[in-house]
Amino acid sequence: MNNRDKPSQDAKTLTIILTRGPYVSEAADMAINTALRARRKGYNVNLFMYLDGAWVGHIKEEKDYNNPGEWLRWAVRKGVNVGACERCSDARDLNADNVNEGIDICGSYRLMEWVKESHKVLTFGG
Amino acid sequence: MPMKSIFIYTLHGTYGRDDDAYGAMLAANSALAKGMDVIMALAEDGVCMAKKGQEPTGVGMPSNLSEIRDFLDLGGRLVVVKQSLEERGIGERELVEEAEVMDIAQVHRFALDCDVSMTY
Repeated sequence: MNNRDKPSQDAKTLTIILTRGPYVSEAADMAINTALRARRKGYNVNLFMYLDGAWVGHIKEEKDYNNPGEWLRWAVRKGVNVGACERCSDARDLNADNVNEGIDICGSYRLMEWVKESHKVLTFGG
Repeated sequence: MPMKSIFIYTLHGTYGRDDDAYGAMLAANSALAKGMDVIMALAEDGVCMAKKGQEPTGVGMPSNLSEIRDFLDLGGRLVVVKQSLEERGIGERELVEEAEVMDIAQVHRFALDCDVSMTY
């Protein structure tokens, strides 16, 4: 992450919660692109992948169609804090060896810490 | 500006969409453990989650009643949409005792009053 990709200390914080998996709807695409757009606007951004949202971290290969895994890697490079629910990951056999680098597999307490320190929280899923 | 209160809108019952229902409970109880005020609103099929006496282990399914018990013991507020109960023929006395049944308009006011709203 370049210095210019680091949020300033007085930046507002946005937390995005993604609860739907990739391709089944546009939720993952919208969540990640919202995260990237918010980073470009200077927000400190947290993206938490919950329930089937955890699957997005598993998309590691190139695609010739929309690729939320690639956007997620881009988000990590741009300084978005990306987390995945530990229980949800464990239930789906997702772990550090089979998800993209830079994803913090962590408990739901981390999500609530992020929520508490946020100025805005958005949920994508349903 | 720390977020202090969460409204969790739960639209799916334990069976069929159990991951959504359990995910809502996990988030709610984590928020309570972190010292936040939590209102969980059950609507649509989510109202089935608050039926007391569920015993689905015979068909190999868990219920969320123990999670709801934890939620209430930790100080969470459980509200149930009256119209969703009526549409499903469920009476108030079939629910866990602490459940507060109210009109959907009242429930939506909670969503506006809380700092954060999440839908499952």
